[in-house]
Amino acid sequence: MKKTAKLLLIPALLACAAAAQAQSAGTWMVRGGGTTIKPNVSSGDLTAPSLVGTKASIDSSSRFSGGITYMVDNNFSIDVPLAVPFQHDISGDGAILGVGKIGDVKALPATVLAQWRFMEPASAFRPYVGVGVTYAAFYGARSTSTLTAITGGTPSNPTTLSIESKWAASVQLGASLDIGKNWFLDANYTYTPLSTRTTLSSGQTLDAKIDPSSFSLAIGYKF
Amino acid sequence: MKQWKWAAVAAGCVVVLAGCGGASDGANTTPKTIAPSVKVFGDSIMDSGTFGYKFTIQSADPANPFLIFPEVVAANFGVPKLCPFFNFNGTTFLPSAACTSYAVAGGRVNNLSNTSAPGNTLPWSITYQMAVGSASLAPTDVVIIDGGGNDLADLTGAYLGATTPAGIGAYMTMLGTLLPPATVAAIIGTPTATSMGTAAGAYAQAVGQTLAASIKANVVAKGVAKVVVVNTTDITTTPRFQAILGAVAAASGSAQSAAVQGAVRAWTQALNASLAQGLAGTNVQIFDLYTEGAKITATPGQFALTNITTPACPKVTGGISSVGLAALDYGVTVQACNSASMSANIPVGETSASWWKSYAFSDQFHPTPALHQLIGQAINLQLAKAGWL
Repeated sequence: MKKTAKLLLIPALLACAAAAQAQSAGTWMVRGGGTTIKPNVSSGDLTAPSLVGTKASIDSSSRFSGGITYMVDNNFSIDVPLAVPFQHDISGDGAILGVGKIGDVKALPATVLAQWRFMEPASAFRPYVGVGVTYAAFYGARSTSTLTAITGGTPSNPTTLSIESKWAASVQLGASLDIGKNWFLDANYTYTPLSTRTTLSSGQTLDAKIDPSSFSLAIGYKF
Repeated sequence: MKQWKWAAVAAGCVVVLAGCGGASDGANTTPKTIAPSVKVFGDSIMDSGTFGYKFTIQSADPANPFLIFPEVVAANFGVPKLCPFFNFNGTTFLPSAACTSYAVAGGRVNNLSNTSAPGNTLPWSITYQMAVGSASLAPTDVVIIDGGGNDLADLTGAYLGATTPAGIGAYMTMLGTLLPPATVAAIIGTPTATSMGTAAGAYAQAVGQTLAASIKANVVAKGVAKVVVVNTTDITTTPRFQAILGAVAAASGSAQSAAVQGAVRAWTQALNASLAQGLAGTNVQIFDLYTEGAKITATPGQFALTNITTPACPKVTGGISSVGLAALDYGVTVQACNSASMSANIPVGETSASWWKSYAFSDQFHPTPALHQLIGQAINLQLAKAGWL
C-alpha cells in the first residue's frame, strides 16, 4: 500500500500544484495528437493460381488524431477516437517477398469505447481500461504496376484489389495525466483482433489476420 | 441527455466518414520501367506470329488475341504489342523492320540439326536471329531470349533412332554438326547406349555454350542492361514426349522408358548448366523455366490447372491433323483450336465451357494461354524482385 502510494505521488508531483479540474461525472474531454497503427499481420496464402506461400504484409501508418470523451459517472466514460484516414502500404511477403510495394489502402477505423477510469476523479493520474467496437473501413485500395505484373495482368488489364471492411472488438489500456487546471496528456494502446479478406480483380483471394495495434498520444482539455 | 446526443452524433460522424471515404479502388498502370522496345529471340513458345498465328490456342476475338509469355512480360514494360520481324510468306521470310519479335517457331540454337531446313543463316537459327537483331539493339531495350527445346528434341529423336548402324551413323553426323567429329567418335568409341548418351550430354553442353556465347556477343556486348534468358524446360513432361516414352515402354519396358526420360532430363540440365555458366558474370537474368515448370507439374491445382498431360486442341473436331498429330504446325489444327470452338464443344469428361482454360497444353508441345500467363507472371515476379517491374 505504501509502495502504491509512493508511485501515485509521482504523477501528482508532475502535475501542477494548482488543483486541476476533476474527471468527474458530466465532464467532457477533447484531445488532439497523433496515432500510429501498426498491423500485426499473419497472412494466409493467395488462392490459385499462385506460387505456394504467396503472402502480403501491411506497413504501419501514422496520422493526426484525437478524440472526445464523456464521463458518464466518476469512473465510467465513453470515448470516441477520431483520426484523419490512415494509408497503409501493402508489400509482397512469403514467396513474393522482395517485390516491394504491391498496393496501398486507406483505412478509417471508427471506434466507440467504454472505459473504466481508476483512481479518484480528482487524481492527476488516471489509468484506464476500455473495451469497444470498431468498424474498420478499408477503401481506396490502389494496386501498383508490380502487382499487375506478378499476377499476369497488363497495364491495359490491370489487377486491382479490394479489402473487405469489418466489424471487430477492441480492447484498450491508457492513462491520463493532468498538466494544468484543464489540460492533460493522454496515452493509450488499443488492440483490435481483425481478420479480413483481400480480393483481387482476378478473383483470387487472400485471407489475413491484421490485428492492428494502435498507439496514441494526445494533449487534451477538460470542460 | 443532451450530452449523450452529442456523443451519438460524434460516433455517427466517424461512421459516415468511414462509409463515404471517397476514393474507390484502382490501379497505377504506369510500369515501373518503360522500355522503348522489347526484343525477342527464340522458338515457337516465343513466336508472335511469323507464320501468321501464335503457337497456342487462338483467340476467337481478333481484337483481343491471347498473349504468349514474352508478350505478358513486354506489356508490363509498357510495350503492349509484339509483332514478328520475320514473316513467312510460304516460301521465304520477309523482314518487317517495325517489329521486334525475331523468334521463329522451330528455332534452334544449332539449326544444322533441323532436317527440314538446316542452316545457321536462316531465321530458324536463334543465333542468326540475334545477329540480325543486334544492329538495332539499344542499351535501354529489354531483351528476352529462349532456345534449346528443339535442339533437345532433335537430339532425343536421333538418339532413339541410333539402333542400327545407319541410325548410329546419322546420330554421329548430327552430333558432328556442333561438336568436332573426332570428339564425337572418341566419346562414343564402340557404340553403347551409355557412350551415346554421354555424347548427347556433351552435345547438350555445347548447345548451351553456343547460346551463351551468342547472347554475349550479340546482346550483352551491346550494353543492353535488361536481358532475360529463359532456360529449357523439362520437355519430357510434354504430351509429345510422354507419347514417345509410352512407345519406348511398350517396346522395351518401363525401365527403359524411365532410363530415356532420365537421360533427356540430364541432357536438359547439362544444357541449362552450361548456359548459366556461360552467362555467369553478366547482368543477364536467367529465368529457370526448368524449375518453375517442375513446380507446376508437381502441383497443378496450385496453378489452377486441371489437366497437364492431355493437349486441348485434339478434343475438338479438326484438332487432329490429317497425319494424326495434334500439332500447331498444321493449319487445320490452328483453325480448329480457337477459343470459340473449344467453348462450344465441351468434351466428354468436362463440364464447363471454360474447360480449356485449365489445360496446360494446347497441342503436343505448346502451352495454352493459361500456361503462357503463368510463365509470364513467374518471369515478372523474378524481374520485380530484381527491381525491374
